[in-house]
Amino acid sequence: MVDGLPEPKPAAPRSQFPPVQPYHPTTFQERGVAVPFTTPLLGGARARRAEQRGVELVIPNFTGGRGVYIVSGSSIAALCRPTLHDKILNSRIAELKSVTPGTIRRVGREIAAEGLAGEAAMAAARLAADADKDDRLVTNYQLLTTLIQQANLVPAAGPDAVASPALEIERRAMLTTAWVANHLGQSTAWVATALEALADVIQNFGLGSAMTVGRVPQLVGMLRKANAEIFEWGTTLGEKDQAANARTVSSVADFTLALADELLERTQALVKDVIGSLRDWSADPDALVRLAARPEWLLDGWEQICLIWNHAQDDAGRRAALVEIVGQVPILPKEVYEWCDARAHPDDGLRFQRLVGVNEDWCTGATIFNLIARNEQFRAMTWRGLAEAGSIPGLGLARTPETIS
Amino acid sequence: MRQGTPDRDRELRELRRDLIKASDHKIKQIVAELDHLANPVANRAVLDPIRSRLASLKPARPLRFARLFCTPIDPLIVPARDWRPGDPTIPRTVLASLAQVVRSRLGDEVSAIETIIAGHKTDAVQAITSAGELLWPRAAEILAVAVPPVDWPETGLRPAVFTDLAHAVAAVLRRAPQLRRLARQGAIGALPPDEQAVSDILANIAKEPPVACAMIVRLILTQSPHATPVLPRIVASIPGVTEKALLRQAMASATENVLADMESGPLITDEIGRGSLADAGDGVRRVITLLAELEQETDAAKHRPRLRVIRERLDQACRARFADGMRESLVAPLADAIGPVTQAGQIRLETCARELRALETAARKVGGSDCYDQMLPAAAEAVKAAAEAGNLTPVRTLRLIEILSGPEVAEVYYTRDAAR
Repeated sequence: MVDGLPEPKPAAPRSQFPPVQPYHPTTFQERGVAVPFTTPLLGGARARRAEQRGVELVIPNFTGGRGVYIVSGSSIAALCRPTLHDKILNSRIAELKSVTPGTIRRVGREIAAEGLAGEAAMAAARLAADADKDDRLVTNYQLLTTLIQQANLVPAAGPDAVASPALEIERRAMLTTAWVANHLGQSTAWVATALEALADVIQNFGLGSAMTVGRVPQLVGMLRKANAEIFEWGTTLGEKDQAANARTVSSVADFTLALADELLERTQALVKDVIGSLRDWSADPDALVRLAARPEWLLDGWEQICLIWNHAQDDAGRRAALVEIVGQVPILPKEVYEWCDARAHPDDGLRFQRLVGVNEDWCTGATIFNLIARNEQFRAMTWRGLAEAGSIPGLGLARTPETIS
Repeated sequence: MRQGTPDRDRELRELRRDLIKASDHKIKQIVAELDHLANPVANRAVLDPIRSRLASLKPARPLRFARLFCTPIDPLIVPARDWRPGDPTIPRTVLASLAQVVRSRLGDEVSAIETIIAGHKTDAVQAITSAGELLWPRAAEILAVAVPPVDWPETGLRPAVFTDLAHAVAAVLRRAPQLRRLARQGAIGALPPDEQAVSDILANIAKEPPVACAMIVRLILTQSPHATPVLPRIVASIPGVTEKALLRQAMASATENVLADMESGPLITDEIGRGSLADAGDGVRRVITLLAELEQETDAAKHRPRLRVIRERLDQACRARFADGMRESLVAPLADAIGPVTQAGQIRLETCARELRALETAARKVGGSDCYDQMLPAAAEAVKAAAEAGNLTPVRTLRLIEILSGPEVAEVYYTRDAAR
């Protein structure tokens, strides 16, 4: 007893587990959104709106076999012993009206900023929140300058035009905004608000600025690098070893990357034609939001996989990492066919690969403390671009060359 | 470091005296400082009196050629006074000489190896693996045909011993990459034993001297005990009668050697009792796995009384290490804090709390539950006292409570804090 508090309750006996269910989602919504849990047994868990009400979790089979556990968000304590971070994260997710990669990311960052995932994640999450605001401002400014260039309206030269270029830009911005408002049959205030909303929607894509690289292009780069390494490493393995697993992971990643490139190109085209985007926004903002969100939905879950792979320091580490990764590779729902012309579906074999039986200590015994610490390091990396920094001081993480924030 | 002045000699004596009493964390800090200075004279003057403690504590040191060379045979190294010819062990005094023999005959390959290890420490897993794969097989070739070097008499051993030891070390180094892979996989714990790696290790083993075979088996037993059940299966599949008999003899000899070491030698007292807290949990897991595997053997009955004694010894060592670690690295820093704990301090405390929990979780398998059930709440009390003294923020308190007492207790604190 500590301070009169009750003793910790042990995790529920296995007989209380829900039945393992097959898992072939049709839509990305049905696939759910990867949740940044730190409890090792919840690795690869996804959240989605339940059919009735509330949020449910889709959790990969603990044994690495086929199927998933589908539990209501309030029941995870019956399945395992979640960390405090995960309990609070789970309760905040349950309050979300919309479960999307963006909303889960925001909630995850807020909880990390409270310090529940450790010191490094707290510092990084707070920095990321500030960086996010800056990114939104920069994106808004870039949209405006693109709009000015696109409209190409030149005001009559004022007396202070040469003396103050900033004033000149402001004058052109006002002129352009007025022209666009008139052109679209909207008010100038609507144009300003729409530009801000558009900045919110596309701020993750980077806009080709030299100053900021968007979160999504960074994730694509991170996945491309990890995928190349997995593929190359897989060619050194025998068929009795994990060569087939490496090949399957790599083929799903290849397909995902090809599609991500296509989707990113389409999304970034929105930015090149700001007038067209504003026109679309005035007609149906939701359609534009959905279009811009596709790359995030597609890539959701791959960041954790890249972090697991990058964390492996040697051959033995990579073998263990691949076992963990295979259970977490995001399944591509059939909805993906509506987004592109592709028909090949490379992950069909993935669920039925033979996975290596787990050691009794893996994820549950004395190693659990190290695994939680590792997952908390991942959370810190998610919130802080450590690509250049190398490692978190004091945590001694040896190798994770890239991340996104 | 200059020598000779009475003041300096007195300072050095005082420093050594303080060092003997210093905590593990302090020793690691001092070693890191001395390594940073890269002054061999100062290094020897300060560290020589605590060499045995360093051997147990294993702080991360700069990864130099000799340290890389010794990595695969490290668990076999014993003080020269404890070594007997025919034991599957290696006297510490021969290491520098053997490493120098290898280095002098490697030629241009030395620079390739030095390039890989430059700037790394002995905890750099990938650098050790990569450089080791270059060095160890070549070192085996060199040692297999080497003659005693001119400095061999400094080891205090007869010249004939050189050949026996060099051949035995060569046999281990020839298989060092596979032994390392097996041990790393066991440490990570997500995969079953790699039978192919064990087969590769045992391939052509009949050509090696019996003592070398026992060394190799001893390394598997102590570093990769999860692979122990694979050994008899592979031995049974070997067609040659002589080879099979040799391997059975090696297994028996290594098992006897490891059991004796656990009964009365330093394997438990040094590695767990006096070793680094960070490694203690893994060390206990390995010993427990080995004991469990030995109990499964067909002739386990003959070992049973000894295994009982070893379990009791392990239990005592775990309790003592836990109590020391808790007092030295958690309770004392919290009680001695003269202001709010810093970010770096909090990270150290959390790391210590995790290491304690890892040790305790593993150690409960050999007993001591009542003892840990008393000590963990005492550690949580120390956290609470530091919080009440204003040295821990609420979230830092929560984090430590969560690690020590579980997420359920931490949640109560979280809810209470949120309600305020």
